[in-house]
Amino acid sequence: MTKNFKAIDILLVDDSEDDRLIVKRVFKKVHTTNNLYAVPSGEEALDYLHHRGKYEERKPPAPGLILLDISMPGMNGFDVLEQLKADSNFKKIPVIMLTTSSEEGDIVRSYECGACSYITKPVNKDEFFKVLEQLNIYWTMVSKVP
Amino acid sequence: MANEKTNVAIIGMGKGGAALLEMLEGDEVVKVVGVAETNPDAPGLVIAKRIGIPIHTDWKPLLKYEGLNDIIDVTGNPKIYEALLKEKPANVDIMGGLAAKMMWLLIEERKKAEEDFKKQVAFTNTVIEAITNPFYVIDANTYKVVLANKAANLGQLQNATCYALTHHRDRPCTGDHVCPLEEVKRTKSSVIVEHIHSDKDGNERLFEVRGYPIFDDDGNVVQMIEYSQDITERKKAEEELKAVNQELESFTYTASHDLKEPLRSLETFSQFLVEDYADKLDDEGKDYLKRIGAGAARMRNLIDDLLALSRISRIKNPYESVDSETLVKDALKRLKASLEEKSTKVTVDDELPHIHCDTTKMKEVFYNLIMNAMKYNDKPDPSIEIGTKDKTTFFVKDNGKGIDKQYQDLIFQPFKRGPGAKESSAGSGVGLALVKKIIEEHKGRIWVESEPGRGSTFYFTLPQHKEG
Repeated sequence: MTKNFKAIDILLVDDSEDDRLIVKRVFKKVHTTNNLYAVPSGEEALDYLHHRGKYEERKPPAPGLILLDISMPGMNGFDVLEQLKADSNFKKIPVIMLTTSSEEGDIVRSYECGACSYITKPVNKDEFFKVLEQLNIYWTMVSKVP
Repeated sequence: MANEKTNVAIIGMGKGGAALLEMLEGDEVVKVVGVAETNPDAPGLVIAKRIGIPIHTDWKPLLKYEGLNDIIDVTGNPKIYEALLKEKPANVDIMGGLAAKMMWLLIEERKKAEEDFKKQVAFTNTVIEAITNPFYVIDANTYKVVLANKAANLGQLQNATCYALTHHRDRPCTGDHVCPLEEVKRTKSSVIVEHIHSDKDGNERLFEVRGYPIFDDDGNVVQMIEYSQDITERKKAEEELKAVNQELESFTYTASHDLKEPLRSLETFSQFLVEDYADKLDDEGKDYLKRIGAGAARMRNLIDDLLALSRISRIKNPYESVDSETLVKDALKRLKASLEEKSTKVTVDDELPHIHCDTTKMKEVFYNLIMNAMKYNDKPDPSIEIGTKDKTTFFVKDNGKGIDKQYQDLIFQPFKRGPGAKESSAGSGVGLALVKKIIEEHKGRIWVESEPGRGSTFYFTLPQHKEG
């Protein structure tokens, strides 16, 4: 397995602190070197990407993958996704939707809006890596799998 | 022409003569040319004067009238009658005595008939007025309302049409507003339609209108009786109930979703504790943790079932024609492992019919019924039989525990389970409620026949299952 690729940064957008913690644990468990940035709302995700508000100074680098919760107060996942796909700077970033149910409506709509894949919460290691493999971006995450 | 009439003279202007004059006044065939009476106060004289008939105190001058055809003697005096017979000209007939009496009776009978008719009309009116719902009769050709009770609240009918009175229109109702009269004329039978009527005060109300035809001797509809019932409140109540049900279903859905979120945290983090901190806990601590996880998992199952139940009502798939055998096979495939584990013998009728249904939902029906048949079985040789009676009533039969009579209705209610379910590791008790809901959505019926210890047979019908 090639290990010369630079590990990508990952942006997690989820209003639930518990769910953010769950994803962080998955990352801790697999000892990746990827940076995981977590934001609690769709609005903040866009601030993060556009270097606005509290991200104006820090200017965080554009992520190589976005994990996006569907159900959030304010802007929901679909709203964020729509904006990303309409923006030439961000439309190529792969987006994986996080959903609480495997309801067909949500899944169909995710794909229609341009999401690459979806994961049913709670996010677990096996499902997460299965999706990454499907998307052919598995290698971005395996720089340090024990 | 006047000379074609029968010219009549009347002797006696008492009550009988007076009645006779009244009856013959303006008659097309008979003309009274003169009367005779000795008593100047006789009641008939007043009438004779009014009509302008010549009056005589003696009857003899009457015989001299030219063109006289008949003499009617209503005096009842035999002497006059005998004298008349002698003196009358040959071409004049005499009606007297009995004939006069018959005339009197005829008149009385006519009066009575008129009175009876009036009474009958009064009776009919009383009956119609006693009806507290709008009731009227409409002429089939002119659409004019010929009769209406007070409840119709149409005010003065004034020869107006039904469409003017109840709809304030200038022509008969058409289109969505089906005219009951048109329907009655078309079908020549009674009809029921829903109609919005506005009364004379302009109040619009929804009515269930029943029209009944009145035929003439040739079988043509000449009139229609319209009887209507105000269903405004009933409709409103129905709509409200529907809205409440929808609200409840959507609430169930949202609540279940929201309930799942904290539960997911509970389950996940207790799992993390087991995975990450097991070495820091003694056996008792680990046991408690397991119980937290198991409790959360049980609750998740309950909520999932609740969601499934609410989803059944929310989601409507188009009906399609399908071989019911494929649905049974699908269910058996899903239950393959458990059926093998319990060594359950499954027999499927090899001539299952095609059905017209929501395939996704009907799959759940077979799945749940077969799963129950498998689950509630403590026999050493468990068996399940799936088939139909006369291709119309499906059944799923087992030789299992059976269900006591008192629980046979209860088991179709959500979260209600028979006592036999306690020991088994069965589900939440939503399966049969789900099945019942699906069957009822297909306008079918489901029931169980069972005896404790001797197995159960679940039956269901699908009235729409014949292909259209």
